[in-house]
Amino acid sequence: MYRAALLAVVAVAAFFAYINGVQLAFAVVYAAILVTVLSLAWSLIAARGVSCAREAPGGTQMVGELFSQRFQVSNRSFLPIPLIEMRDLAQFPGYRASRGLSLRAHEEAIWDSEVRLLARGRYTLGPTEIRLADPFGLFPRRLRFPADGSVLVYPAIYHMPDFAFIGARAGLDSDRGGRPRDLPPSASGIREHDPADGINRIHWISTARKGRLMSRTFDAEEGSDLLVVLDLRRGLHYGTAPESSLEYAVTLAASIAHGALRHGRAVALLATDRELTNIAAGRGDAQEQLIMESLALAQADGQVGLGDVLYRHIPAWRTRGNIVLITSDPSGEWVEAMAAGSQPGRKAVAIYVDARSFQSPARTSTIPAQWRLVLDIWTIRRGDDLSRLDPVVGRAVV
Amino acid sequence: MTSPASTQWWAEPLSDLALVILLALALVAAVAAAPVRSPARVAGPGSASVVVRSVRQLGAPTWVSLVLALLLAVSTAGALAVTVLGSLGLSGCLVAAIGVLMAQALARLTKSRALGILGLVVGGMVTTVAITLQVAAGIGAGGSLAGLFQQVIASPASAQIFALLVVCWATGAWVGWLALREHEGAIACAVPLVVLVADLVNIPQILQAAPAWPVVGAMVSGLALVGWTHEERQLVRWSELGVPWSGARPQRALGMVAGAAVVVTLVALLAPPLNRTNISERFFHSGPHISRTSPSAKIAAISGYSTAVVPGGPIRQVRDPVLSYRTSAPGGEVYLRGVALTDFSNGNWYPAPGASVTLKSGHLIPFQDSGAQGTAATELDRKEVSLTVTYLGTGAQEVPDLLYPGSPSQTPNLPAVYRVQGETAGHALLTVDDITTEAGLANSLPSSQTITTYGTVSEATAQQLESAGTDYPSWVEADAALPPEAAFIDVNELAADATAMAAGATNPYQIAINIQNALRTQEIYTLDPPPVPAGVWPIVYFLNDSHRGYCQYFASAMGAMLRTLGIPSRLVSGFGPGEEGRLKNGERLITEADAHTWVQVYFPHYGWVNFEPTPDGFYQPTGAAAASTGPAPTTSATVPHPGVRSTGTNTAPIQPTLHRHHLGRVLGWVELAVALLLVIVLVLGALRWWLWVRTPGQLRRRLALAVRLGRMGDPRCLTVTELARACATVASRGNLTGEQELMLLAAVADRIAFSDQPPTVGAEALAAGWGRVRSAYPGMLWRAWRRGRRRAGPGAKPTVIRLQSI
Repeated sequence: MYRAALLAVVAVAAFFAYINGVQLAFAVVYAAILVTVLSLAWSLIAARGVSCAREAPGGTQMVGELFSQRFQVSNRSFLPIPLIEMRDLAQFPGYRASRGLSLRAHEEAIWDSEVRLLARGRYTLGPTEIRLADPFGLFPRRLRFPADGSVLVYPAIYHMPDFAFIGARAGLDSDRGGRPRDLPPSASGIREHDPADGINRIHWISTARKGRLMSRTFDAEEGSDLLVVLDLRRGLHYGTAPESSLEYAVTLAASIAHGALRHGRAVALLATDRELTNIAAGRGDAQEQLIMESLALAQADGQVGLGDVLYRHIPAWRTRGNIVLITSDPSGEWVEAMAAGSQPGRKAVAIYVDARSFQSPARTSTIPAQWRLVLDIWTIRRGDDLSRLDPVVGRAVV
Repeated sequence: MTSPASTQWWAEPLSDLALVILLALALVAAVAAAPVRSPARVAGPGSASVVVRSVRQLGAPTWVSLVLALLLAVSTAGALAVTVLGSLGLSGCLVAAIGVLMAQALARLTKSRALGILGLVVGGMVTTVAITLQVAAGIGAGGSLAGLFQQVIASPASAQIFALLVVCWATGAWVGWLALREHEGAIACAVPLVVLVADLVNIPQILQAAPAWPVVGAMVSGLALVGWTHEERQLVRWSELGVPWSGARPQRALGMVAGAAVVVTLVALLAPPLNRTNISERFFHSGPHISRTSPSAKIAAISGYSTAVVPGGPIRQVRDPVLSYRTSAPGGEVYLRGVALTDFSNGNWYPAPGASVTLKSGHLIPFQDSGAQGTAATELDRKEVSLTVTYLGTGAQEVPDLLYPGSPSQTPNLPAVYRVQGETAGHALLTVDDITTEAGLANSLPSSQTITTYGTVSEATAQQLESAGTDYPSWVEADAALPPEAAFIDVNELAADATAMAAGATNPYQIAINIQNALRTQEIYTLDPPPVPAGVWPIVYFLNDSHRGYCQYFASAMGAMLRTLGIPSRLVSGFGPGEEGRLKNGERLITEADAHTWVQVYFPHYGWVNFEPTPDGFYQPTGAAAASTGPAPTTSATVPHPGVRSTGTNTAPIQPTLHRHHLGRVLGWVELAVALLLVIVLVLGALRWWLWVRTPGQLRRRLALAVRLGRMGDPRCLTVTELARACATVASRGNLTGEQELMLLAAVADRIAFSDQPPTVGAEALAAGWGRVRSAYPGMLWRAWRRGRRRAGPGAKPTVIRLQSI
């Protein structure tokens, strides 16, 4: 708007300079016109010569990791650009990768930008916006470069005890962590050999036939699978990521699933989100990736009651292994259904994420004692160190 | 009882000193209110926090905008000063500067835009009113402050001064506020642009070159201000948003902007104007001053007798006979006086609408003979001369006024009632302007068409007139000044011209002689003067620009200039002495071509004395007016034979001698001197740069230039040895000696740089080494530049700068 007004002023001045034939007035008007034309041409040429590129690791990342990108802004025109502003419009929480630059002709700037990933989800890498102008700033231009790719951020993972045996009487290997065990020897299949596999797992016949090392896979012991139930109903979770009950719940689910899978358990995921996500039990990296992707994008948007879901799925799971429920629901409607999933000598585990500590308006968060009679209940509050959960006391150890 | 205003402090207007003190205070306030920006700290998630450098920390000098705004405002006011403000120029510039500084102070002191603007308006009004009052006091208005106010309100000149000062103030405040607070340089420059163009298109053409330097200053500073405020706005924005800045320091941007501003200004100044002719009248019919003419005035487009002097366009000479005459004056020739013109208006002269006395045939002109000084009856050293005129053809109709050989004294044989017009005291005359008959001259003459008149011609000597003093009678004082409503600009110009022409004169006579001689020697007589632009007094245009005109121009200019100096003067319209020997009876023939205008100056005790400023090659000053006459008059008129007026037009090249210390001309010399000085400084600087290498840093800069030109890498990342090696590829061209010299030079530089000794140790060795390379250095630069151009072609690899991670 103001440019139009200025142009009008220049036009009127030019008119009067012309009809009066005054050289100095012409000079003033010429200068105004010249600087306008020069600025316009400068802006156009510079905008044509500017390009922006980024290098970023694709695939998946995890909350808490440093995500590094390399930016490159090039000026391939023959004109210097005194001021360029590069704005990365990627929506990483707390991320700001804008940068002010000054580039000579045929010059490019390269820099790395790091951001610590604070929240799970899928983030596009971009778009990127370049703002530049001529030296007089009369014709600012805004160039927008579309997003090139995205990155999926998994929830953070903390070391967890083996929840397949939490709440159960002491199992033979319940305290063993680490790599999948070789026992029992009931082989269920053949797979590519992993250097971490023991020599006694090598299936020599297949190895001879395929010409490369193949290993046997075994069924885990009966009843050692784990069902992770994540309560994602709308209105239950409070707080803002990363300090929200939802993030805590998802992080717990991811950590528990990861830990169980590392222990060779078959892990299933059941969530009360809008899609009622139900990932069948499975083992290995593929299962973990499936669960992690689901958890990375999980939202608290479900509407089906938790009790209904539990009643529908728990009977089929009762003999297969343990159940871990992660919820912020203080109402207790799920207690009875969970209790139905308990087996003699092994209580189902419920991790109660205390929403009140995340500024929930709920009045009470006290766990009734009778719940603890039928369930192994853990309580997680805001600020708890999830890496230090104590299975004995059922909460994080400070 | 009201006490005198001079005793009340509040009634004292601002003095220049007070104005300067006000300027200093505003400067102090502006500096004290300068922003102190602390670095913004941005919490960089997942990484160390990034300290965003403030504008000041970035090296961006925050005072640059202030300096540029001051330059722009003062330059704009300076243009006004040169053209219209005149002696108030300094005040105008100071007011503009105060406007900028006050805007800066208010911008920093208050965040409220409305409050700031209100403060600016109040401050501006106080300052401009105070200065206007000061000016009013300086030009004679006295008494109380209320009296000053009344004088200012009543005086058009004061209103004009006030308006101009307000313009200066508004320009400064606008520039300061928008550039320093809003960081909107382009909008800030809009008002100076409008003021400059409005000023330039409205001033006389002669002055249009005078404000060249202020205009150039305004252009450069304005353009730089536009660019710099853009940079500053961006830097401030980044600082506020926490955007880290990388790359070159803002000085690079400032340098780029300043360079672009200079280049744009130079190109704009060198570009020819699309139109050099004033065609504004086609669009606006406001009309020039000269359009105002007396209804009774007879303005000649052809030569002839005129009862008003309105200098205009070309005159075509007509040689129709008007009359013949005999006179008792020495030499038989005399100026035939028709009407005295005392009413000056907008550069033209008209008969004064004064009182008149009607007389019957044979009655003598009733002069006031009270003996009071200054009346026609008491004038000294005047000789009565007779004039017998015989009208030829329609001469009596062409000339309505009776013709006299000097100041009219009597017309004894006029057979008609006649009316004498002039200054009167009761029923008696003090001086005569013109004499006409009631029934018209053509109907009042005897059948012979001949009439004899008597007039007095001054025979006062130069010494007498020099000592005549300035004790003018009261009735003549009106003829000693220009009317107060006269245009401010033109009067100023006339006064400046008069002062310059009268330089060295100590009395009115010398002043008149100096001006007469200056006009006769420095201006060119022609009947074909150039057209006068609209809005300019013809005599101002004549004096300052065209330097060409005919008798009306010369006489009008001299009369007006004398009046600006307080000397009573008037113009006389009549006929020159005419041609001799054209009639067998010995009478002199007067034709239309002999119509003439000359000047009369009043001297106490001696009355009106003729002066002849027109250098037409024919009429010469006589009597006292002939004293101290300068060199032969400059004329472009060709004179076919003596006594015959030329009809030719000026074909000779015009080379008028400028007689004024006009600021524009002075600036012309200053301009040349500065340009020469600049060239010398540049040459010396270049020579020194080329010849002088005594430190490793200097060597590094010279080698880096070659590397940069050749696009052989980023010089910032290369050591001196690497630079020398890179330069060797373009310097030696296979000559190992050159490469060895460069490497040796680099080794010397490294030794000096990393030595414990002071840098001066080894400087001689470095200088000696550079001396061996120096002659090859220009060639090296040339080859490096050519290589750089090849590398900069399509597909060239750009220079890469790696920035710190964020």
